[in-house]
Amino acid sequence: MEQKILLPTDSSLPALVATIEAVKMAKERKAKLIILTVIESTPSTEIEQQAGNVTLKRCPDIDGMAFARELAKQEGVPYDEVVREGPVSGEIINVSNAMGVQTIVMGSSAPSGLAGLYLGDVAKSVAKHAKCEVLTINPTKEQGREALMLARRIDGKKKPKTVESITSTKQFKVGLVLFAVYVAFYALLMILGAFERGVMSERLLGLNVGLVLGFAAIILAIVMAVVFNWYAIKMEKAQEA
Amino acid sequence: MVAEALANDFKPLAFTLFVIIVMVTLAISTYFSRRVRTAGHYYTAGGSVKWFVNGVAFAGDYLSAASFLGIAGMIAFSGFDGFIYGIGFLAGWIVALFLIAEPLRVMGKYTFADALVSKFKSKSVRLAAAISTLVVSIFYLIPQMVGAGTIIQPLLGFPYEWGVLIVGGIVILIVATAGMVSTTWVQFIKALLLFIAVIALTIGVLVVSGFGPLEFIQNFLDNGAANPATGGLAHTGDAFLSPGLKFNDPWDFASLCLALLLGTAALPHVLIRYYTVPKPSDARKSTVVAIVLMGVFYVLMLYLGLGTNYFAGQGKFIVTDSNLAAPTLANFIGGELFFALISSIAFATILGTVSGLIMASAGAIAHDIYTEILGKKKSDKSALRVSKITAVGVGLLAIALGMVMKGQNVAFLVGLAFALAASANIPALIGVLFWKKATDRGIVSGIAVGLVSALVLIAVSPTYMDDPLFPLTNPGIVSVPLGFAAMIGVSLLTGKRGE
Repeated sequence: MEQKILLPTDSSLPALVATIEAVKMAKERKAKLIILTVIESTPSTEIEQQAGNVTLKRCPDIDGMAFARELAKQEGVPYDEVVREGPVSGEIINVSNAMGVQTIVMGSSAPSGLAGLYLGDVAKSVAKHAKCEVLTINPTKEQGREALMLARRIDGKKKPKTVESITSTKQFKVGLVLFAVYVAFYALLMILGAFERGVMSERLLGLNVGLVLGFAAIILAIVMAVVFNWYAIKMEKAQEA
Repeated sequence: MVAEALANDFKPLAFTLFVIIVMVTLAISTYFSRRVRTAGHYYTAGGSVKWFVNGVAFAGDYLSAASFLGIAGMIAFSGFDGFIYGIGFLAGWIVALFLIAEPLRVMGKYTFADALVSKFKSKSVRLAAAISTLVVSIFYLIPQMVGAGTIIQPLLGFPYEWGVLIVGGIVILIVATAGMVSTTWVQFIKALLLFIAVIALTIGVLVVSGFGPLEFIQNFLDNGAANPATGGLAHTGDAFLSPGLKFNDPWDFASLCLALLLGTAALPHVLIRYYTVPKPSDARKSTVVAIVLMGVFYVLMLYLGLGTNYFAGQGKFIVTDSNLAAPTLANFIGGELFFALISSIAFATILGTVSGLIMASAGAIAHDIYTEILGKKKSDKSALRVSKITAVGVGLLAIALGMVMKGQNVAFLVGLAFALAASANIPALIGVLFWKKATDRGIVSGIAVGLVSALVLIAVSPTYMDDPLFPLTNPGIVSVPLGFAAMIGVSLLTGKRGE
């Protein structure tokens, strides 16, 4: 049976050290390396991200995934890349179970204090719940510095998307048409409300024209948003396929 | 029985409930963010959680003191002219959904300026965007602080200034420990609480009045509306439920409508939420969730505003401060407990919005000016320190301004902030996104002219001058076109020269 080693990585210093260890181990055991990145599911603002980066010793200028990939290539270790979104520990364990890995190698930032209470220790959680061997690496300062130097030399970052990749899609153009329809309706409400107030107080459907138009503007917004989202999801799925 | 306004005394029950709500919100948000990272099993429905949570948090960020306290009061006192705020606040999200959300997520990393600079590598564009973010945030902070000061009086019996100080103080504390408390989770919980409270209050209004939803509105059309400050009959139904009671000048009404439509998608604390999700499609999905929630919310607000007017007309109570319409109504419908609940949630709402705003403006200064323009960033640690120091500075400024602006209707003040955001940021956003001929100088001019003209027109408006030089209370209808004209004109001029 093929040996598999799972390397969950972000761009944190401990993860970079773990990457070096995992590649070394995979080479020795002639195992396949599975490089995993889990995109966190809680939206966070810049200040929150900065605070998280400082606590977890992340290096935002480094792409942890690219580093692992390039290092594996250099050492001639076969690898697979997996990107998941969701609860970090849960996804790491999911992937390890689904792929039948024998060993998980991961860095531990061991956050302490208030930040530790808030962020929790992912490595500890994985070690507790995993059904396989878990090697957590809590690197020394020296190891961290070396890993960082190595990672800075290896740069395999992907290019970001451009605005045109969004604005040139068909779904965006459909959105523009819907937008025009809504703005026309809103303009009608605005012009009548400003200059034809007599019309707005005419009775209609048991209410008056103003109230009916107002409710219609709210309902139209909800319906358009839901329908457009349904359409966009369909288009995105078709594109992926 | 003589109708009375809310008493400004200390209420132990209200105080206890208030402390519990704040503590529980913080505790739950800490629990969730920890769980999301370290739960051993896959307990959430895949990736959907982030856009759903973010969408609800969007609504939480947006449904501020203005939406809740201000609109209810504006509807209670001015009928349809209050309702138009709700319609316009929602319409603004349509702009965000179809034009801004997804492109912005692709372009920007952290701030509004990032998005603009992704096309023009220009320090002056970044500086202009950072200044505009700062000014708009501060303008939007003022009504939140006024709301806090207003609600603290009947809630806890403290003077107005205490409310402003408490909110400012707590928020500075939250931001100073940022990263410890995820604002997304706080907003999420707060939005859910607000929804439950508003639904309960609406049901209460209909049950106590004995009318059906449609009948309730028809009753106003047939029997007229009261003045909530006195309880006496003041308006015919036709006058109350059609435009013109507050915005007598047609151009003022039109100007407000324009500012509300274009302002939302240009508000810094709304824009920064778009950078918090990993993918453009998440930005869109979050916006859709927010639109659905807020559409329902603004319909319910109509019932709260009208409910206040109705019961005041029945001689059940009077409302002396328009910002206290919803809390007064809650006190009548459900007694002190319900009043305390509604007011505590309103107060928590303000806390959430203020911390979002302060994060946006601190981000603008720390990221755009300190890191990018001055190039001073040494590490994330130093950038974080600058962010926090900035946040404290903006917080102190907000406290000072909140004290000065005592007594204004918060929805009205928010209308001004929207006009400012729309005038300064929308021409630049539209130029960068959709117009190939836009130049960096054009963008800077659009921001500068839009921002300055809106500020000047507000300063010489009837709100701040007895003998106004500009007749409209809301500057949008003049300053937005001026911003566009400057952006387009200067782009065309500098573009040709560059060829």
